Amino acid sequence: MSFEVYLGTGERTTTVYLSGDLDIASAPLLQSVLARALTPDTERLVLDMHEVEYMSSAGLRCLIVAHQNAGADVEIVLVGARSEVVDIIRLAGFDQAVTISPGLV
Amino acid sequence: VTAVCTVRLPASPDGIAALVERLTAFTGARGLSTAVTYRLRLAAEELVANVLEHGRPADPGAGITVVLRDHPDRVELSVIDTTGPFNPAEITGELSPKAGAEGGFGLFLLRNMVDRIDYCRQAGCNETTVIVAKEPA
Repeated sequence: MSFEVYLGTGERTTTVYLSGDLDIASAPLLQSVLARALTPDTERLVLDMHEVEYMSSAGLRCLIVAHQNAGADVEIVLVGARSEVVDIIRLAGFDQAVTISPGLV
Repeated sequence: VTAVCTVRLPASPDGIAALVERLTAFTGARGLSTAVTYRLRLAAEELVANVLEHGRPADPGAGITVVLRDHPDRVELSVIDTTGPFNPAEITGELSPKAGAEGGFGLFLLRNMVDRIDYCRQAGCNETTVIVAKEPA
């Protein structure tokens, strides 16, 4: 499945809408978009993952790098990820660093 | 074995997309669950990506061969390559998110998402086989 990403920027919150596969093919674009999503004013980064079908280590690595670049003052919220994707996030221990929400953005 | 699918890939990132297409077609035709398909795809991507990132093929033209075997209770996925000896099952240890950002996380995920990993070296090839159990009916 192809990968699509849209960026919505608010005053303090940036929302990234993801769909498709977060894999080795889409990782370079994802990493680039997440880097653009973070500005000095960003306090909250929301990743809408309702339409994400698949995530491998390459996709997760992009999220981890974004978290490291954001710093401790930025809250990262992952919304609507399917169970297999959440399993991978938990295996990495990344659920300790972000907020996982099943609900709407 | 009730069905076998063999895919020969070029040793390049383009090969992974072709592999995913064949793998999902196979699991769809066999009626395998979304969860089993996910785990097989993850195993395939992580193993092939590891060969592409770290391996130096003895024969660059040989590519990578992936074989899927559907059994009544499990699916086996074998990745065969001509790079130097490397046993993914020997890579152990826990990884922090920091380590995940630096690499090596793919094999950690692999170990935790499949039921077994077997490895053998023969005729100058690595053959890594992972087993994914099907859910009870």
